[in-house]
Amino acid sequence: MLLNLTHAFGFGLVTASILAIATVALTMQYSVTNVPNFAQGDIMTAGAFGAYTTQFVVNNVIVQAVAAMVVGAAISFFLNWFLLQPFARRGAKPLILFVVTIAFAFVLENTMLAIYGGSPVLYKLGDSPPNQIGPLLLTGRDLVIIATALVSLASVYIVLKYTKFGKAQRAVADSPDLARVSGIDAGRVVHLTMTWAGAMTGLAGFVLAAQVGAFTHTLGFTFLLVVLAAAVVGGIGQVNGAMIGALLIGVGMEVAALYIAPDYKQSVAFVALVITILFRPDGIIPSPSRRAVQL
Amino acid sequence: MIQYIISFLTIGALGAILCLGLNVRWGWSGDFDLAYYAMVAVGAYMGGVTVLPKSQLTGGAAWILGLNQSFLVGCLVAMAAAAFVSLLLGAVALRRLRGDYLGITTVAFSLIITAVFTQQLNLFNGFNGLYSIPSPFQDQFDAFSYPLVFLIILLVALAIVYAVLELLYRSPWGLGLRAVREDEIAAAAFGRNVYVTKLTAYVLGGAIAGLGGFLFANYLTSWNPASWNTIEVFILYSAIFLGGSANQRGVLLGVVVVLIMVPEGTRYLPNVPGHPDLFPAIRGLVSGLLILIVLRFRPQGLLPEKRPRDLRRKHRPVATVAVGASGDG
Amino acid sequence: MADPGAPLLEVRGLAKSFGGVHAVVDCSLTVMPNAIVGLIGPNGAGKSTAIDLISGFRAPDAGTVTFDGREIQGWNAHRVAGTGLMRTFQTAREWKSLTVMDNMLAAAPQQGMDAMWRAFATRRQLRAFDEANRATARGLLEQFGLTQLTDDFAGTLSGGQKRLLEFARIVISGARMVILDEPLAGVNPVLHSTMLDAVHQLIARNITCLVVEHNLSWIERACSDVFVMALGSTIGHGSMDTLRSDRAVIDAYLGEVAESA
Repeated sequence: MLLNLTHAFGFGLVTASILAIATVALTMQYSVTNVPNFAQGDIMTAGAFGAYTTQFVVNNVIVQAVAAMVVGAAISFFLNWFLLQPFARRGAKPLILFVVTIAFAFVLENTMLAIYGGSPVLYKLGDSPPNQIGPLLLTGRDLVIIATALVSLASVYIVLKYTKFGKAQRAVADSPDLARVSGIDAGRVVHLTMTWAGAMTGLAGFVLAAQVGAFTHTLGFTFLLVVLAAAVVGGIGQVNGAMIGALLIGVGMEVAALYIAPDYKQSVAFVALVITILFRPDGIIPSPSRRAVQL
Repeated sequence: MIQYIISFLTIGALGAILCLGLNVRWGWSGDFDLAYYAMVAVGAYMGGVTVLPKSQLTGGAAWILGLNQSFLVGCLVAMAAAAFVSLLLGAVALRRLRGDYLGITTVAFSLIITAVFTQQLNLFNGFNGLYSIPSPFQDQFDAFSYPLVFLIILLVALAIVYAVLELLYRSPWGLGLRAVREDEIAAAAFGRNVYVTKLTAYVLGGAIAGLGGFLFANYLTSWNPASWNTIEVFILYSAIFLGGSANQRGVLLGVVVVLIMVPEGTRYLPNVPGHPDLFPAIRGLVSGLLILIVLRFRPQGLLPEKRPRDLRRKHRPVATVAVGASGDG
Repeated sequence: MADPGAPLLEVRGLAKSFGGVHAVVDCSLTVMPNAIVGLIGPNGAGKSTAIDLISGFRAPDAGTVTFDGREIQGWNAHRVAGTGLMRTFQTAREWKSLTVMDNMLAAAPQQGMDAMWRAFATRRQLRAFDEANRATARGLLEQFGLTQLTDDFAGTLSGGQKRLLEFARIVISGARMVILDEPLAGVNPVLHSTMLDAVHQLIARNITCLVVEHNLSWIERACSDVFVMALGSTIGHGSMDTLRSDRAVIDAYLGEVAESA
């Protein structure tokens, strides 16, 4: 039994790693735009397709990963520059911006369906047999995924804490008006943040596709709700919360799969999402409280 | 030719009923609900198992009930079941959630419900779903003339739904709901119970969803969990956004464009070899683009909400009870 | 319900904290029937929160609110409104996409007619109800000078017109008392006298008023009795003259009160 648990924990770490990249990206975007980006999942898929298509040109995994990041960054930039910012400038309510991201997701997903068709495409990266790492059993690919996540998260952490851009981003996330008054070009910070988050999203798509081996145009959309669950549980808008949320949800899903039917695995994340929104909307890491008015 | 016209009118009528129900939640109440399709599916299923005979299947996969009842009873059960699920979900979600948080929570709920549908084999027959759902009056007509009969039944249902909703829209209840939509805090300050008002609208939308779902299942004569995809609700939204939220004629116009003109318009494009999913993809793409274009250039839709006029009305003496209709607008 | 000599609204010891912030510490005030009472105080004194607590938009941590003989502290906003204690907001909250007439109809007491089933079962009664409300609304719109705007969307009105519409809605709602939250905010100073007249129209209809305002000269013209709040507590009470010589009040305002004469 304990062996199963440690195996599940191992799977959970891999899932959590993929989740972490996507969740941090989603959270960074939310912190500067205040809109949950529902196109996130489909941008992941686009990144995956970018990597897939690149493999016919260059047979180098790293290049394919970079291609995924470039695709993700470009699409996110487009979404922000041509849709979100213009709508926001006209004073659109947050709900309308949310609908805009959903509509964009719809367009993106159907574009990929039109180009690549509905049948699954294969994306097989070579793998090595499982190694025993302490109590866990992880394959070479698993280790690469975890390492990728750690490197991404570390880079996010370093940039946010130590660079000028990172400080500017945190300022805009806290209060765009105050940031502007201090001389920060909030619009530019948002553009750069969205682009950077888009690159991370593309990378997450690449890693997810690598793990599942075959995917269709719906790859990211179903994953999106799990990412949202991790973001909300961790504390939507808090980047360090995002990492914790990813860990909790990723490991939690795999461990839960030991006890319930495996097809309900994702539902565990959704239930966690609903419960968190209802009872503790600020997530695990408290942010400045939003006062509720009783009606 | 006639058969062709009947078939797209049928899809249009089904879509119209579903959109009118969704419009109660979005246009009248202002809630961006993404769980709608789950209630459509619930209504379809519960109505289906009401009119079907008992399941003959063994091996753990079956359907519940199997009451072998009439079409009308099936409609009522479908509406009640969907309304019940809406009550449960709405009671929880509408207490405190609005806007994008409501959207996210309803989508999560919807995915959970969908998972239960596909996984609980003993209840819902898993991926096999329901089949051979009997349609009303089917045995009295031959296969050639039946589609017209079914279309007439649908149009009658649509007319009833439209009329009932129009009545509700113009009633004090409808006005209260719109006041809540415009500004909840002011509505509460003037004595409206915001939570109950929104919940009743949510359940009403659910009842219509259930009816639409059951009628749809009748049309397909089957019910398969895989075909009730949560995200399909977005196509309904594109019809409502385009036509005009909160304006029932606008919704119908939107249905005509999105559910009839777009699919039929793309049907005759030449097939591109090697891309069999091109046309469903184009339809989805157009829906998404339409929403973006509408939001950017004409957010109120083609037909904006009707503005009732009072200044030109005849002023009746207060003591007299009015006889005869006094139409608004 | 209450006897004629008793206060219509009595607030004792109201308190509310958010996290570590004590927004309201000890708020107490009394409003007699048919009076116009003022509530003043520097920014951050807790006046807005106190109004939210009294009107049911937030639940108090402690204290009592007695209206017309009934204790209503902790009641929901819509229940408080149902007792006849209404309130306005710092920005006029009209229902923007509804016409002015619909704004009036939606503010009128519903007497149960807004239940869903009523739309089907009682057409004749509904029509009578609707016509009666419309007639009342027309009369009020005329008195407040808004008749020509009857079919306009409320969102297109000017700031002053929105305030007047707010007053008209208060009247049609059958209010017994209204708490006016900064009624002069966003209103052109030219209209300040008009607003005073509008408040007197409320009094003429037996609607008692509690007014929160920063414009002290207007408060002086309007109110017989004034309460002062600072740092979450009521620190003074009386006519403006009395308050001007009250040490605690002067300290709180840093001379504002003394200079506004």
